[in-house]
Amino acid sequence: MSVQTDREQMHSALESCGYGWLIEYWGDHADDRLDESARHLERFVSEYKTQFGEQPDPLGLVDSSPLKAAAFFHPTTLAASAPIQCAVWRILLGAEVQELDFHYENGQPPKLTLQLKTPYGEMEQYQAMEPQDIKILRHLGITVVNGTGVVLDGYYAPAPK
Amino acid sequence: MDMSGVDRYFPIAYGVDATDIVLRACQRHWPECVLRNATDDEDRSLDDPDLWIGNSLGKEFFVYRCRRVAECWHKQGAAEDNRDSMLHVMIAAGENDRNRICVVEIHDEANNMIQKILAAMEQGLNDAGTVPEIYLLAGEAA
Repeated sequence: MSVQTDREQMHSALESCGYGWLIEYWGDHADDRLDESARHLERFVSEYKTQFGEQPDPLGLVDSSPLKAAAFFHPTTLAASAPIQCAVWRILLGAEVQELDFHYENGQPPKLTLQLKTPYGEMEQYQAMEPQDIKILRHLGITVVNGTGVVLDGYYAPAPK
Repeated sequence: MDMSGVDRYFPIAYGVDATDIVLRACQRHWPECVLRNATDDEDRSLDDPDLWIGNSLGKEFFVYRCRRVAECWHKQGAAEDNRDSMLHVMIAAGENDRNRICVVEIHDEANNMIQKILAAMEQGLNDAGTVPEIYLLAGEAA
């Protein structure tokens, strides 16, 4: 399947996912920001295809799985680096977060490493490349088990109002 | 022995991806499980990407602990030796996509693993979202 991301498709995807406010927020710069977002999405598709030999179709999610599209097209995810977007896509495809290392020190570059287990049982590791990558942490589902244990699993959009 | 199922009802918070929550709860405790739509006769395993991001899974489906168990259910239905191995899930749409309910029919209320799956489902389905709607764009816009 060919994925052709252009300004109109990106505009349509953001509106469908409930992020039309972002386009308004961009105002006069909306066209430039949409083009930039589309290019960024193409980089993700290319990175994913290189790594896994499959072509993801984020725009197709808008119709097939609107809630997952809302998670992937959330501004936080769109701003993440391509490798971290690959991790997000793998989580949407059922991968579980097995381990997460996050180190923060005031004023220093944060360090974030994610280890995922795919439904095939394979382990994959991802490292944050950009400071904005750490914002994806707010989208991980949190389940408390046995009273004190925590399972981080799933990648979700904010609850709509 | 009565082999009829018992229905458990879970309200689904608005905006929660109920199917994803159910799949993950099952995956965590029944990693070898297979799923079948109520409307077709194909058993799918969790490594089928269409289950996760396609629309191949409908609003009513069955989850079996493993493929062998699924075949057993298909052949003989509910029986004493498979009562703790299947969940019948229905996601009922509410008005304006609100007030949705997830109904899970189980055949063994006492089974520890089934209780864990239901607890994980309940927690996820009740979660109104892990993320506040407020996020800072100022830094990104600068």
